[in-house]
Amino acid sequence: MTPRTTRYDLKSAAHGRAVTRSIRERFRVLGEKTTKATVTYHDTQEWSIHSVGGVLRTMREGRSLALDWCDRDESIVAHQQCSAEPGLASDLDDGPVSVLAASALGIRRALPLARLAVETRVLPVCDDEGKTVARVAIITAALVGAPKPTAPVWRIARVTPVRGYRRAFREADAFVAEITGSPCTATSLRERAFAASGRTPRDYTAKPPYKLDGTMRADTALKHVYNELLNVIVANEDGIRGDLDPEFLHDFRTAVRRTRAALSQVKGVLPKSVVERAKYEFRWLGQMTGPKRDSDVYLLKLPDYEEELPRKIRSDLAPLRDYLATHDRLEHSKLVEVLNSKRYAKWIRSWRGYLSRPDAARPGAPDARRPILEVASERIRKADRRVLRVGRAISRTTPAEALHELRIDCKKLRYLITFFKSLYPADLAKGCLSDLSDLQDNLGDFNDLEVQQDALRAFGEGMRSEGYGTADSLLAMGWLVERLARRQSKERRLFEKRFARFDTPAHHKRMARLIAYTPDAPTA
Amino acid sequence: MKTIATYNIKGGVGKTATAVNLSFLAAAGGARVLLWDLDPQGAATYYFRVKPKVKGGARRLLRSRSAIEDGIRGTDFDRLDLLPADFRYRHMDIEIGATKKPLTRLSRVLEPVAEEYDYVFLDCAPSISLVSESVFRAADALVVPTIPTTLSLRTLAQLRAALQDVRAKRIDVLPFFCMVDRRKRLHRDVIATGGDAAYEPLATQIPYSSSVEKMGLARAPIHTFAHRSAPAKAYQALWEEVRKRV
Repeated sequence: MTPRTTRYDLKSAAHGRAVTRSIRERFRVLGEKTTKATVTYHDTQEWSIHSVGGVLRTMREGRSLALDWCDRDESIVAHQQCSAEPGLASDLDDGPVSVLAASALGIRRALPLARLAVETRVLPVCDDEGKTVARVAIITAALVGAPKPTAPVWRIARVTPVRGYRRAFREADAFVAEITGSPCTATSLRERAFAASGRTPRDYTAKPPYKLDGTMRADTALKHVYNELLNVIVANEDGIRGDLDPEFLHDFRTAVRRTRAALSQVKGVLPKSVVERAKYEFRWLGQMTGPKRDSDVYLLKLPDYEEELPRKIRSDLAPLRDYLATHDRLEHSKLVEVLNSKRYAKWIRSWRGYLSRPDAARPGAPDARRPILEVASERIRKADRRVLRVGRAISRTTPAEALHELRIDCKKLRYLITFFKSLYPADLAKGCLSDLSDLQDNLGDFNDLEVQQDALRAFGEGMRSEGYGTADSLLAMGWLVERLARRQSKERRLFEKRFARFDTPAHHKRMARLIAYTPDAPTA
Repeated sequence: MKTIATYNIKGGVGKTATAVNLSFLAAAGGARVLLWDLDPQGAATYYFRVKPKVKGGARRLLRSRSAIEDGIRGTDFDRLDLLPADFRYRHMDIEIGATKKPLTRLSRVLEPVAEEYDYVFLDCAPSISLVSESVFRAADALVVPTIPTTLSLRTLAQLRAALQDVRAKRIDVLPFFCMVDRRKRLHRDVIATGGDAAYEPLATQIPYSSSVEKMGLARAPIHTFAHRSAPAKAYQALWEEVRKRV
C-alpha cells in the first residue's frame, strides 16, 4: 500500500527557504521546478462531489487550464485539460474527469467554492540513477478574493510518496518532520481555504436536522424549526438570482412550503398576528416563485418528452423548447425583481428578527409554553387521522379532487413527522415516514400527471397566441397529453392498493407508539 | 482497462520507443497508465531510470496475485507507472509453461490492478513464444512497429499465422511504419504497396531520427526533451490513431 502524503506547517517564508536548503543538502535533488497556479475547488451547493468522496479542482497556469478529479487526499484520480471552469454537467468538455463529475453533479452546477494563488517549489528527491523516489514541495498559498492585508497565507512542506519507493518516502518524511519542527498536519490547504471562505463541507442541506429537545417549550421549538427553514431560504437566494441551476429555486420553494405547512398545522403556539402575517408573506413567495419553477421543471422534462415521441416527430417539440426558454428568461427576471424588492428584504428581516427574539415570559398563544413533545404528538395524531378518514372515503368513483386533497394531507403529515422526528426514537419516526412513502408516491404521480397535462394544454394555447405553435408541434404535444392521461389512469387504479398498504394494523400500532411516546416510557 | 502491446518478432524496430512514448502521451492526456516491460533486456525500464528488479522474478509474478502490486513503480511522470523488467524474465517462457492455462496467465497477472488503470502497455521481447501467445490473448491491440523493408513485411505474415494458431480473441493488429527514411527508394516502394495485405497500416509514419536514439541518453520519453521534433509530433499523431481504434 502506498503511504499517504504528509504535510507540515512552515512558520514563514524564511522558514520555507531554510527547509529547502536543508533538503538540498541532505538528499540528491534534481530537476527542481517552481510553478505558480490558481487552484480552485469546485462543488455544488450541497457538496455533491464531496459526498461521493471526490475533490474537483481546476489549476490555471498561464493559459493552460487543467481539471482534476482527486480523492480526499488530493491524489489525482483523473485529469484532463479543459476550456472553462466546470459548471453544469452538460457543459463539461469530454474527458475522464467529466465522466466522474457528471455522475456526481446530476442537474446541479459546480460552483467555485474557494480559490487559492499557489506557488509550489517541487524538490524531486532522487536515487543514484536520477530516478525520483519521493517529492518534497514547499507550498505558499494565499486565498484569492480575501481582503488584504488580512488575507490568510499558508505555508507548508508537503512530502509525496512515489509508488514502490516506501523506504525513500519514510526517510524524506522523517527528515522533513524533524527540520520543520512541526507535527504532521491533518488539515489540507483545501480545508483551510474553505474555512477561510466561510464554508465547511456539508454545511448546507435542504433537509435540516431540526434538533429538538422534548422538554423545550413549543414556541421555542417551533421558532427553531422556522429558523432552520429560513436558513435554507436565504442560502438559496444568490443561486436563484444567478439562475445557476434549478435546485436553488426548488429548495427555496420547498422551505417556503414547509414553513406554510407548519404555520397552518401547528396553531396556538405562536401569536395569531405573527402567524397570519407569516402565512400571508409566505403565500406571496409561493405564488411569485411558481412560474419560474414551472419553466425549470418543463425544460428539464423536455428530453423525456422527446424520448416518448416516435423518433421521426421528436423535432416537432422544438417550438415548445423555444417557447419555454423565452418564458424562462422572462420569469427569471421577474423573480429576481421579487428577491431584490423592498418587500422581500423587509419580510425576511422581520421574520428573522422575530425568530431571534427571546420567548415571551407570558405568551398569549394557548400552547406556547406546553412541552413540544405533547404538542407535536397531538398534531401528528390529528394529521394521521385526517389522512385515514379522507383516504377511506375514496372509492373508484370518487372525483380526482379528493385524491389531490389527500395528497396535501399526506404531505402535511410527512412534514410534521419530519419536523419533530428528533423527539422520537429514530426507528419509530422512520417507520411512520416509510409507511407513507408508497402512498405519497402514488398520489404525487397522479397529481403530477394531471398537472403536466394541464401545463401542456396551457403551453399550447400560449404558443398559438404568441406565434410559436406549428400544427406539428401542437399535434406532438397532444400525443404527449394522451400518453400522460393513460398513465394517470393507471395510477388511479393503483390507489386502493397503495392506500391499503398504508392503512394497516402495523401502521396504526406504529403511530400509536409514536404518539404515546415519552422519554421515560419503554418503547418495546 | 485496455491492453496495448507493442510487438514485433524482429528486434530493433522501435517497440520500446513506441511503448515508452505512447504510454507517456496517454498519461499526459489524463489517463492512468501502466507500462509492463516484458523484455528481459529492460530497455523501457532503463529509459524510466527504474532498477530492473521485481521481487521473486517471473516465477512469483506469474503465481502470486500480490506480486504485481509489490512490483509496480511510479515513474517520474504523473499517472504513469512501470512494472519493470527483470533479467529473470528470460525464463518466463518456462515459468509460464509450468502454470495452468498458460495462454491466459498474463491476463490473470493484470487482473488485481485492472481497476486502477485505463491503459496497460506491454513492451514485448522480440520473439515468438509462449509469452507472446499469452500477450496475444491478453491484449486488445497489437501495435506493430514495422520498418518498411521486405523482410519486415514477411514477419507481418508470420504474425498473422501465429495469431490464427493461437485463436486470439478479436485483437486489433495495428502495424505502422517506423524508422522511415524517405530518401531510400525501398522504403518509399514498400510504403506505397501498403504493407501486408491482411493488415492495413496506420496512417502515421515515424521518421528515422537521432532524437529517438537520444532517448537512451536522456533516459526519458522523447516529449520531455524534443517535443517539437518530427518524431515527437509523429508519436503524438500515432497515439491519436491508436487511441481511437482501441
